[in-house]
Amino acid sequence: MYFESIAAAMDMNGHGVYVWLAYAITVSLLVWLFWAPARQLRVRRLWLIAEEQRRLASEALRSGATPPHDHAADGRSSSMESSG
Amino acid sequence: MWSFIHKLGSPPWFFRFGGNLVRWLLPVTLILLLVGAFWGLLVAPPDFRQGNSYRIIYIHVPAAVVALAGYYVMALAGAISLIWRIKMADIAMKAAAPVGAVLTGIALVTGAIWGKPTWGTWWVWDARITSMLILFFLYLGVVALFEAYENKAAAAKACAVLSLVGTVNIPIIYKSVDWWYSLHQPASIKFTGESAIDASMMYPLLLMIVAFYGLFAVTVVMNMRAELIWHHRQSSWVRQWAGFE
Amino acid sequence: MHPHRKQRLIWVSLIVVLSSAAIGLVAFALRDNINLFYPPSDVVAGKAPVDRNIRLGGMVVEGSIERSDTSLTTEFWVTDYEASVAVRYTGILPDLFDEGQGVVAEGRLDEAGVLIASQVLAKHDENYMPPEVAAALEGKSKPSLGPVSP
Repeated sequence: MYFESIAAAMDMNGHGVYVWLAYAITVSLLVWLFWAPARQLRVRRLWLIAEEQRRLASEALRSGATPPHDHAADGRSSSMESSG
Repeated sequence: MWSFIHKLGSPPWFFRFGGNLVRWLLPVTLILLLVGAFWGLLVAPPDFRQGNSYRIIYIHVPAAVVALAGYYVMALAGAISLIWRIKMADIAMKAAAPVGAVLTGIALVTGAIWGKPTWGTWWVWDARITSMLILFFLYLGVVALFEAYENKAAAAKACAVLSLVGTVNIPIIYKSVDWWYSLHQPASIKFTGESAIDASMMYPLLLMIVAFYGLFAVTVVMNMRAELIWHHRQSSWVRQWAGFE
Repeated sequence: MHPHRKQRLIWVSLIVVLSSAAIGLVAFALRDNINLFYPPSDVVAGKAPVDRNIRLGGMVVEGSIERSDTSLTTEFWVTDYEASVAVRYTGILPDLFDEGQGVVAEGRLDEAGVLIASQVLAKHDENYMPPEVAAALEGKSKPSLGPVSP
C-alpha cells in the first residue's frame, strides 16, 4: 500500500480530484455496458412471455372453451440451458 | 476446428455457448478489474515527475488498446458478413460497435482529465487525439447506421463497408505519435526491447489490459445474446428458452 | 472457394486498399498541418510562418529559464539540439514545466525571432518510474543529451 491514510489516498497530493473523477466516470460507463444487455435480455424474455399469453388468450377466446393456461408461471423455472 | 467455427454460426448453439462463457468470464473479469484498479490506484508507486495523476493510465491505456483491437474485431466481422453472408457476423458487428464506442469515449475522457494536470490543457488537436476522436465517430457511425435502415441486410452491408473503410485509421492512431510531432507521448510498453515504464508500474497496467480484453469479450457476447433472442423470437429454441413449448 | 465469395473477397480487399491509399495520400498532403508544432530548427530556418500563431515544440534548455521578479513573465529557450528559439510567456506555467523537459509553446514570432507565447503546455515523455528509481538513475548517470547553449 503506497498511501498511509484514506485521506492521503483521496487527496493524492492534489491530484485526487482528477484521478477519482476519471475512475468514477469509467466505472459508471462500465456498469452501463454490463447492465444494458442484461436488462435487454430480461425485458425481451418478458415481452415474449406476454406475447405468448396474448396469443393464447385470443385463441381461447376464439374457441370459447377452456381458460388460458399460465405458461409464464411454468417458464420461470426452466431455461434454455436446462431444456436445450 | 472447422466444426467449432461452423457451430459458432448456429444461433441456438452460440446462445448457449455464450451463456456459459459469460457465466465464468464475467466474474473473472470483474475480479481482474477490481484487483488491477486497487493495485494501480493504491499500491503502485507514484511517478517521479507526474506524481499521482499518472494513475489514470491504468484505465486510459487499457481502454484505448482494447478500443483499437476491438475495431479490428468489428471490421473482421464486417468482412465475414460481406463475403460469406453469415448472419452471426452481422450480429457480432452490431454488438461490438457500442462497446468500442464506450471504450474510445473512456480513453478520450480520461485522457483529457489526465492532460489537464500534466500538459496544462484538457484538449489539443494533435494527431493522436484527433485520430482517436475519429475512431469514436466511426464506432458511433456504425451504431447509428444499424438503426438507420429498416432492412437488416442492407444495414449490415452499409455498416460492414464503413467499418472496413475505417480500418485505415487504426495504424494511423497507433503510429501517429511517431509519424508526426504530437503532444501525446509515444508508447511506454514496448514489444521489443526494454519498456520505458518501471516493472512496479507495468504489472498492474498489463493486468488491467487483460481485464479490459475480458470486459470487451463479455459485453460483446452479452450484446450478441440479447440480439439473437430478438432476431429469432419466432424460433422454437427461443420459445423454449422463454419457457414455452 | 465459391466464385461468388471469391469475387466478394476481392471487393472487400479493394475497399480496404483503396480507402487506405486515399486517406494515406490525404495525410501525406496535409502532413504540415497534422504536425502539432514546429521544431526550433524549422523556425530558425524560416519554415514557420511569422504572420500568424504557430506552435513551437522542443526541450527547455537547462539554465535558460529567467523569471521576472515583478510579473508572471518567464523567458526560456527551446531547443531540438540543433537550433534554439527564445520564448517569452506571461501566465501560470504547468506543473511539469522545467529545465530539460519537453514543452509546446503557442504564439507569434516577433521581429527579433522571439516567440511571444499565449499558451505553454508541458510535453510528457514515455518514461514512467517511481521516485526512488529516478533518484538511483540520477546518481549513476545523467541523461545522455546534455544542455545546449542557446
